[in-house]
This record gives sequence, C-alpha cells and structure tokens, in this order.
Amino acid sequence: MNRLNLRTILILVILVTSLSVIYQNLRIQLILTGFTLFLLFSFRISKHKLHRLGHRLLSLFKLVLTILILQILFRRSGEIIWEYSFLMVTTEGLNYGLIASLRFLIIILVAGLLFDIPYYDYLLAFRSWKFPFEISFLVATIIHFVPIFNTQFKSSMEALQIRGIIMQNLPLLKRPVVYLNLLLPVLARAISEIKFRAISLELRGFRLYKDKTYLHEQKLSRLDLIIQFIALIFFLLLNLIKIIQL
Amino acid sequence: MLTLKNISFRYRGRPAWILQNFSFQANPGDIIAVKGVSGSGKSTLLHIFCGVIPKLINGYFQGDVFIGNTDLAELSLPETAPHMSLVMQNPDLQLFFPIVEQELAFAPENLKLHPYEIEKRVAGTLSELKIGHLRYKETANLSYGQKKLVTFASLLTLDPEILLLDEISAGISSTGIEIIVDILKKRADSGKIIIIADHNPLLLGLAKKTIDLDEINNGPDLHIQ
Repeated sequence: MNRLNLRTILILVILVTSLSVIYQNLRIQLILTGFTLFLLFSFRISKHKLHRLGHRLLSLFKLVLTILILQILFRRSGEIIWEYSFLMVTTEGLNYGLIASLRFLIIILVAGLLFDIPYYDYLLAFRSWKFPFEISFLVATIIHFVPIFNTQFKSSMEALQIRGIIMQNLPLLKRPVVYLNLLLPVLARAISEIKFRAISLELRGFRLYKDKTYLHEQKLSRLDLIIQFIALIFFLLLNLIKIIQL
Repeated sequence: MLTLKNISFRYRGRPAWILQNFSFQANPGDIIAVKGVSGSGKSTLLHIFCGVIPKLINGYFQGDVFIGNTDLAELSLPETAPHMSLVMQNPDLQLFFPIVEQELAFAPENLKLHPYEIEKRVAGTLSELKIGHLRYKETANLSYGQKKLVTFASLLTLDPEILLLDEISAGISSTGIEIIVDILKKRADSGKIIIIADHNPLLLGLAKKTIDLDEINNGPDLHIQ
C-alpha cells in the first residue's frame, strides 16, 4: 500500500470526505470511517506516527464529544429514548450526533494520514496535476516553518516561566495579552527575515526557468489507475443514487 | 574572473561609507579572505559581490561589478546563481525544505539538470562533506553546525563559478572545518573563485589575497594585499 501514488491517496481522501459530507447516513459514515482506518493502517503507519495520531485524537476527543452531545440535545424530532425536564434524547438526535462525530473523526484521521506523507511526494503530485511550483513551494515553506515557529514560541514560554510567569496561573483575560506579547516578536522577526530568505532563494536559481526538473519521479502504476477508476465510478454511482432518491 | 570597479557604498540613513572607490579583481583559482572586525562591512561586501546590493538592499551605490565580461547589473539574481552564490551567516534563512535531500536538490533542479546529474551532485556533496547520514533528516531538527554544513552543501550542489562564504565556520567542529578546507582547496584547484569572510585561521590561511576592511575603513586609500 505504501507503493500507492500520493495522487491516488489524495483522490481517495477527497472522495471519502466528500461522501462523508454528502451522506447523512450512519451506515455510510461507519463504512467511510472503516475505510479511512483501513487506508491509514495499510499505509504502514509507524509506531511513532500512530502515537502522534493517538495524541491528536485524544486532544480533540472533548470537541468530538461536545459535537455529539450538542447534536443529541438539540435535535428534538424522532422517537424519544430518554427525557428529563427539558432535556431530551431522540433517535434522530442520536443518529445526527453520531454522524457529525464520525464525520469529524474522518477529518482527523485523514489529516493524520496526509500530515505524515513526505512533502516531496506532494511536490511531485502537484506537479503531475500541473499546479504552479510557486504554490507547492509555498505549502512546503508553511509545513517547514510551523515547527520552527512552534519551537520559538515554546522558548518564549519557557523564558516567561523562568521569570515566574506561569500561563495557567494567569487570569483568563490576561492570557491573550501575554500570548500577543509572545507572538508579536516571533512574527516581527519572521517578517524582517523575509528579504534575506528571498535573496537566498534567488541565489539558488529559484524561477530561473519557467519549469524545473525533479530529483525523483512519481509515476502511476497499473494498481493506482485501477483504484482511481473504481473509486471514481463508486463515487459517481453513490451520488447518482442520492440524486435519484431525492 | 570577478571584477569590481570603483565601488562606493553606504546604507541609507547612515553617514559612514562602507566602501569608497573600491576596485578589485579575482581570477579563477583565487581564494580571497575578507577580514575585519564585526560591523566593518564583510557581509556588505559579499552582498555587493553577488549583486544583492544594490538590487535588493537599498543604499547609495556607485560602481560596476563584472563576471567575466558580463555586467552584473544586467543579470537578475536567479541569472547570477549559476555564476555565483552565497552562504549567509544565518543558516535558518537558507533552509526551506523539510528534508536535507530536498534542500540539496533544490538548486540543481532549478538549473533544470537531469535527475541523474542531480543525484550525482547530491550524493557526491553529502559524501564529500561526510554528512551522508543527514540525507533524510528533517532540517528543522538539525544542530546549528549541521545546518551550516547543509547550507554549504546546497551551495556546492549548485556548483557556481564563484563561492561566497559568510562566516561559514561558525558552529562547525574542527573536523568539519578541516573537511571544508579540503573541499575549498579542491574547488580552487579546479578554477573556482572563493571569497571567505570569516575569523577562522584555518580558512583564512587558505587565502592568496586579502581584503582588509579595517585598513580600508581607517586608511586614506584601499589596500589589497
């Protein structure tokens, strides 16, 4: 599965997330969640990446739970399962709550899958789809700088802690001010460095020619083409069924 | 051949001239050391050499820079790249890709070289610098010295005629510096021009010519030893 081309994975991911949005059906959401999990594990996910995904899921669990509870409580149509004062749980509420939570879970799983794919594969995939290199490069730069900004921000937080300022102990209203004071120097430094980054890029021949070559090539295998074809047919059929049902 | 003719420069808003009526010539195979205390204008001079001044950094600039018979003013910075490139002091300003291999492949890819040639340059440079183990490492997680080596490596994969090195030795171990010295010697022997602004005696010891900015700034005339 690791040998699947990124373009195939991206197509599958787009189709899965689109179906997840289109279909308000619990069974289909369960199938899509299962398929996403299959995609994730068949991509030979490493222990480290699995741990990271687990951490991501745990940190977003509260949000998924909140979505579930809100959907359950605010949907009042359908058969009543449980009732207490103004609170009510109905079959439809439960159904919608589970659908919304699964939809969100699919997005988290898909994001986990996409984040762990090496960036160069994206460059090659975008190139095959005739995306301008500048756009791909912009994405690469963002991916590259997120951990750098994160490290700089953490260092500033540690510096604050050394001075005895612990964010958790601050009143809620003061926290945004402190965050702003930490963020502004990091952003200011990034902006002041842009000129030198541009110089460095140009001195390495960036945009010397309209197009460029690549160290690695990425070709679609027969398996990729078959999977892409089946996935597209499947997607169109499901949408056709949906339209006919309407 | 790199020629500077009657160069004068000062930054906008600052009264002091960094250079006044400065002329200089470097021939293929030359290794030139740029010496001077911090703030004497070593980096500024390297920026003038490669055309960053006056193209991207503002100030009062006069004079001409030639690569062979070509006036640098007629070339855009990307067009300058195959002829001349610069390793800046701060490696974080020059790393753009998540993985070391991509960083090294970037310049030859821009030159539209064949993937075989790109691979040859990437693998060759990594092996020459003895940093083959870094090939698939994330650039964000490298130490400062490793980042410096990677930025130097990315200059080597570009393989320009003129190499400008600004404080290349900072943060690099003595073994690393010895490797760099060997590489620079080989490059000079093959006809490259190398201009080094540094404090390291090993690197400065390679130079056949010296531009002493302290003398230039203090003396009435320019001195090229």
